[in-house]
Amino acid sequence: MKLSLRIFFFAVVCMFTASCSSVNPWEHGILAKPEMAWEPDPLMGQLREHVYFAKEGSAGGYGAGGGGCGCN
Amino acid sequence: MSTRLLNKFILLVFIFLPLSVSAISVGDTVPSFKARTIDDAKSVALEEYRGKVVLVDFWASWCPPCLKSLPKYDELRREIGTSNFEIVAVNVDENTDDAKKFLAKHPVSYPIAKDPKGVLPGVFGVKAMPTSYLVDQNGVVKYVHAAFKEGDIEKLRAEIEKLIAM
Repeated sequence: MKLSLRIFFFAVVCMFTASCSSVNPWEHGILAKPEMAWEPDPLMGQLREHVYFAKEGSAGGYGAGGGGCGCN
Repeated sequence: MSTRLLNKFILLVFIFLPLSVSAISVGDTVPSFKARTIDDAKSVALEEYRGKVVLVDFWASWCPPCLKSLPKYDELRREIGTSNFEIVAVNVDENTDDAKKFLAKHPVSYPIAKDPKGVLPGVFGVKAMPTSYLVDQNGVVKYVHAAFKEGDIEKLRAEIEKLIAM
């Protein structure tokens, strides 16, 4: 096999060894715990957001996907 | 030597790549399984229910829609009767005690298998929680339903009655 082709296949193989992983739907038990929520206390969260907005004059710019039970 | 090793490694990857498991869907034969019940009293094997319409339901105690579905399924089972229909639930809680706590307050009458390691949902290719598979008398999957909302029971009842009538 040509060297360039071998290098290409090796590069493809390396792509499959990437370290990203996903959580299967049936493994969301820990993510569903209240302490794993981005904001376990919604009322306190809203208060903090309000204080932040009052002091900084801006809002938002936080949060991310994921977490929770992921149930439908 | 390193070239030969590289070639062998690449060959191995391409041999094993197509062996990834795909999700069970309508028309597929349901995977046969045997698992301990949640109270560890006995084993439940899907094969025992061949000849009946079976609803295989994957649920967990941390899944709110799952918890809503359990009493509804229990009621459905009582209404349809068990001569031609059965429900086999598979609990996937990593800590089975969590499921037992829920069932102590809300018992159901159908068999519940435990699978804390999550082997069976992987075999079935479960994409969401809860997911239920309606299997006909010959072991063929006829209906797959992910999620649970109030109105889903009637649709499921219609599918079950259609299969029983066949």
